[in-house]
Amino acid sequence: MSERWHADRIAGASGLRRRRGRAFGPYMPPRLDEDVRKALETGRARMLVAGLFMMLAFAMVGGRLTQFAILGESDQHSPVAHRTADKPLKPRADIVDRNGEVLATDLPTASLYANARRLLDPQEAALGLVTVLPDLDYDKTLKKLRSGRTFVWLRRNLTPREQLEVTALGIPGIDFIPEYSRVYPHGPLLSHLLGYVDSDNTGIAGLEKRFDGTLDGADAALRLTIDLRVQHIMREELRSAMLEFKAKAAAGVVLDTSNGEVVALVSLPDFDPNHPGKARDAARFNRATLGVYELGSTFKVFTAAMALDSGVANMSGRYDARRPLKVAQFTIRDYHAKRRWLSLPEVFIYSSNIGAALIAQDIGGKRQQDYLRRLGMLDPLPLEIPETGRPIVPSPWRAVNTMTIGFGHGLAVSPLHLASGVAAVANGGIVHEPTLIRAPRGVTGTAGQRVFSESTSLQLRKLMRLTVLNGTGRNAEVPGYPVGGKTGTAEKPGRKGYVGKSLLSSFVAVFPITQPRYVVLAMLDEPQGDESTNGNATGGWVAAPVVRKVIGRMAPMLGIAPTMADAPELRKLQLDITSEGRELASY
Amino acid sequence: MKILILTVWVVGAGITGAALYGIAYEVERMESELAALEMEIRNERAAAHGLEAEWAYLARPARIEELSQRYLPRMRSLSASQIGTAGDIPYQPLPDVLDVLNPEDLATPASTRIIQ
Repeated sequence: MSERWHADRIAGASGLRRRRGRAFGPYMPPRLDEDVRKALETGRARMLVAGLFMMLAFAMVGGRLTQFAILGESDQHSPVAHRTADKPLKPRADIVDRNGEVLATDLPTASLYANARRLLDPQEAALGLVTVLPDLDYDKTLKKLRSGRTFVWLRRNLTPREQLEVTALGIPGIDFIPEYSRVYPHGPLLSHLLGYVDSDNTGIAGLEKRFDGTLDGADAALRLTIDLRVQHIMREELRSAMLEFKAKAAAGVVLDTSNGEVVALVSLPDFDPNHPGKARDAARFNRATLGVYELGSTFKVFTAAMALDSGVANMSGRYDARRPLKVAQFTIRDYHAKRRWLSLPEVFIYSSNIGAALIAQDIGGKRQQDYLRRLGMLDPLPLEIPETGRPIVPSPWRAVNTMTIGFGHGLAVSPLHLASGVAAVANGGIVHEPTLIRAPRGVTGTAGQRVFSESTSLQLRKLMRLTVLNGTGRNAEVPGYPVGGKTGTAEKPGRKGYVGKSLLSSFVAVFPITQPRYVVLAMLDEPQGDESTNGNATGGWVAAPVVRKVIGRMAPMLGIAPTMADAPELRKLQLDITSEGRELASY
Repeated sequence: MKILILTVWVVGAGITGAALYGIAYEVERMESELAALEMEIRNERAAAHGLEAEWAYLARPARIEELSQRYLPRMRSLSASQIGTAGDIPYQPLPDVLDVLNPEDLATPASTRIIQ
């Protein structure tokens, strides 16, 4: 290879002119030393760069190919990532009773909507929809379909059958959105407790409202203290009594005395939370917790407990009930008038208003207020539903208020207030805040606060037992399950003071009275007496039988052992008041 | 020598690549299987949930009461007199084995006697 060839090759394209020139000129030896070596090095460097670049490109292509092969198309579309990113619609958590029975649950449904712009023939579509869904209004549907909006609801929460029929119509431009719909399998049984939700599944009353945030998307069910069976018994018995005595309304409570757990809570009339829109206002009103009433003589439980606990009276205290008591412009009369001096137990079992007013006078307004406040009677209950009533408290608290509150007038509280207070009197003197939410296993509730002494509690149990044995509460006795209790018959305040014939009749019972476990309260609003009650509509005649039937049915169910009539623990509760020289059984 | 090394590399790369693809496809298959299973679980759960709601509806106390009144008219609610303790049952001493004169009586079950 000649050196000239070399020079020509290396000079490359740039040497064209020179080559031509050389062709005509004399031969010139190439200058290899400097120029050629330089050009050679440049060429090598360029080849290296180009090679590296190609290698890098191939490596990238290869790497990307490997990545596709191993990881799939891209991270975002891998099935695992897809599942976590696009979470399915989550149902609202269930509400269950203390035994795990479902009280409220979410069921999947489909909601129908239309994209009016994609509809071909609104008239035909509307006709088809109306034949499948007869409750749709043709004109309204047509108007929606002609609205030209891209999204318009046609109907919420279709059943699977309806969904199938609508799909079969094959109308373009209408589609479904999967949704959840709240269902209350027990209908009206727990209406006031559970409350209800709106069409978007947002709680707007009761527990649904209070726990709206926690129920949404929660995994665990909300467990209540309610026992479905006891709730049913209470509702049934209250309803039959309401029908029998033509009462306007009724309320009932079963409360666990040891921890304030509400086992049953009924307010009648009630409504079906599956269709809250159809409920009347009177039916939506929760009489057991939101309604406040002057509950009458059942308050004598507290008067007697305060008097005995503070020491202003003892069991042998005597009170002049010979004639009505005149205080300011009021006259206090006895319903079951005895017209003689009465001992404290007699005041209690015959439900003497005069006697209770005199005892309350001895207690004094300040001390009475103090006890009532500690029992929670002067504040709204801290129950877990928004519908809790604020007691109507006299202001200022005059001496006459003290006396009337002694027999349950002049202070309006909810029935649950009363049940909670009686539970505190009966359980040994400790008040617990009533609750609807069952504490998780192993968690014990708050210890509660002592209001009365153990001995006061025992004496009150004796008095309540005596009321059922010999006093106004005889209709509440359940064979085998010793009950103690107190009647209450309040005249409802009308426009012109208290109206004699509209009564609020109640009975509050403690059972088993030997070792209290439950407080059972029944209240009837404006009951009318009938032949079976000799025309009476007082608490002892209309409410006490409800309590008897409820206890008789719930006690075997809850595994409470019956107590024999001659059991020693029952004899301990006997109160001997015949020593006064009068025979009790004659009254 | 150079050719040998190159062959080893090429074969090695080939095997690795094939294995890689194999694993990748296996993972993809398992993932879709997992997705299908999870879908199935979700559907089963939803179905069970629906059945639970239906059960709660069918077993509501009001309905049970109505059914029992219709089909079990003789069943009454329990009264306290029907509940007792173990101590209420009168004590009956078992017959002493030594007092039994004819041991065959004890050994023969009642059922065999009926058959004979």
